[in-house]
Amino acid sequence: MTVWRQAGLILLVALGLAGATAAIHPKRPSFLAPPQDPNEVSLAQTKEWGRSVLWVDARSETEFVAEHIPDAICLNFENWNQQFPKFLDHFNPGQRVVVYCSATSCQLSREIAEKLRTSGVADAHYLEGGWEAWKKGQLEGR
Amino acid sequence: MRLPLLLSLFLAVPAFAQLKWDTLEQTVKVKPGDSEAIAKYHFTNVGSKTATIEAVKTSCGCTTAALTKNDYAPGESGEIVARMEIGTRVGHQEKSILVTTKDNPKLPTALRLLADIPEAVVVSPSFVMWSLGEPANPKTIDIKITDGFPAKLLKVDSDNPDIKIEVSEVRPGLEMQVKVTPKNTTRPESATLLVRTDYPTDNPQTYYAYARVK
Amino acid sequence: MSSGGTGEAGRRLVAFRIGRLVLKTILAGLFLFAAIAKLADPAAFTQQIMNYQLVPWPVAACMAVFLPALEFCLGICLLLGRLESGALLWVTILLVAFSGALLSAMVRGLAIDCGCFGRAMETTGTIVPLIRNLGLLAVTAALWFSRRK
Repeated sequence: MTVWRQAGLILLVALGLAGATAAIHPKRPSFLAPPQDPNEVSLAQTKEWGRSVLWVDARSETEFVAEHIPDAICLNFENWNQQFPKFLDHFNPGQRVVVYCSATSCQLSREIAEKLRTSGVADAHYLEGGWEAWKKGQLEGR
Repeated sequence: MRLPLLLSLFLAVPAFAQLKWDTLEQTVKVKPGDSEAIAKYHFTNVGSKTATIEAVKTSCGCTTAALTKNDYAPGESGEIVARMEIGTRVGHQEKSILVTTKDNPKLPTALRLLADIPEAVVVSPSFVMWSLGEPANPKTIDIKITDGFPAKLLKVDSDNPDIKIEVSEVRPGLEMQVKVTPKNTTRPESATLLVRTDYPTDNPQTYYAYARVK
Repeated sequence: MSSGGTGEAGRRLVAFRIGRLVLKTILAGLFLFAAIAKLADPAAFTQQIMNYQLVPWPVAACMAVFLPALEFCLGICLLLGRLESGALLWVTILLVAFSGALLSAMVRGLAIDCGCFGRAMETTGTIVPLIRNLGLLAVTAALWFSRRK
C-alpha cells in the first residue's frame, strides 16, 4: 500500500472513532456554540428593558462614588448586611435586576446576581462587559 | 549513524528558566462557616538558570497570594499560597492569580482557585414583600442550619410590631419556619427579622431576613 | 541474502533495529498518552483549543473530538508496526501543525496552557512544548528515513 493509501485508511478509522466519541461521550462539547449562561445579558438587551431595570453596582464604594450607572444601588459582599436593606427599599416585587462590575473579566457581578437569586430575587441578571461596556455604549450614543 | 545525531538534537537545548507547576487549577472544599478558602500552588524550577517571579496579581481584592521569596535556583521548589476571604460570599467562586516571571514577562501563568461555598445558615427567601393594597396574607420564610455547621437556632425577633411573626420549629435548633403577616397593607412598612444563633460562642452571629410593605 | 550475518556488521544491525523499535515505541506511547488524556474531557479540550484564538468554536469542538481519535490511531499503528509510513506522515503533519499553533501563540503573547496532554499534565509556557515537538520531529524523520521499503 502506498503512503497515501495508508494515510487515507488511518484518516477513515480516526473519523469513525471521532464520530463515535461525538455521539456517546458524556463530556462532549456542544458543537454549535459555547454554553451560554442564561443569566448574562447584553447591554442591548438592557436597553430594550429600559427604565424597568434596577441596576446594582457590585464594585467597591470608592468606584461607585466616583461614577455609576444612574440610579444604581451599590451592593457588594463586604457590606452586604448594611446595603441589602437599602436595595430592598428600591426593589419592587417582580422587578428585573441587572448587576454590573468593572469589566468582562470581573466575576463579582455574576456572584452578586447569584446571591440575589438565592435571597429571593428571581429575575437577577449580570451585565456582559460590565461598567466598561456601559461607558463604551455611552460614548457611542447607544 | 543516525542515532547519535538524534540524541544530540535533544541535548542541544538553550539555557532557560522554566517553572513547572504541580497543578494550575485547584478546587477547594469549603465547609459551612469557614472564613477562608486556601490553596497552595507548588512549583519547581526545571530550567537551567535562576527563575525570578516578578509579580503575583489576583483577580479580586478578596484573594491574596503570598510568596516567601522571588528567586528560585535550578531545581529549587517553592509555593504560592492563595487565600480567598469568604465573608458573605456563597455559591460557585472562580478566582485567578497571574504569576509573571522575569524571563517571560509576556507570558504570565494563570493559576485558578475554584470553590463552592455553602451557606452556613440558609434563610429562604431572605425577604418577603407585599404591594400596597395586596391582601395581607402570611408569607413563609424557611430557616435551616446546613449540615456540618455547629450552630443552633435560638429565636427570631421582629423589630416592628406591625409586622407579626409566628415561629414554628421543624427540627429543634436546626430548622424553623417563620410565618410573616403584616397588620395591614394600607401604608408602607419595613421590618428586619433577627435570627439569633449560639455560634460562635464568644460572639454569636445573627442572621437577617426582611419584610416590606411597599 | 542473509539479512544480518555474523560479527560486527550483524551486531550493529541488531542494535540499530532495537534502537529504532525503542524510538517507535516511545513515540507511540506519547501519542497514546496524549490521545487518552484529551479524550477524558473533550469539552475542556475544546476550551483549550479556543484559548489559541485561531479557530471559531464549532471548528474547535470538531477538532477536540477528531485530534485525540487520530492520535490514538497513530499510536496504535506505531505500536503494532502497521501502516507505518502513513502513520509517520500523519505524525509529521500533526507535529508541524501543533508547532505552528504554539509559535503563533508565543508571537502574540498569549498566556495559555499548551493543552498537549489535556488536563493530565499542565505546564506553563510554550517554549518547552515547542522544543519537545522539534525533538519529536527529529525522531519521526529518523524513523522515516530508516524504514524498510
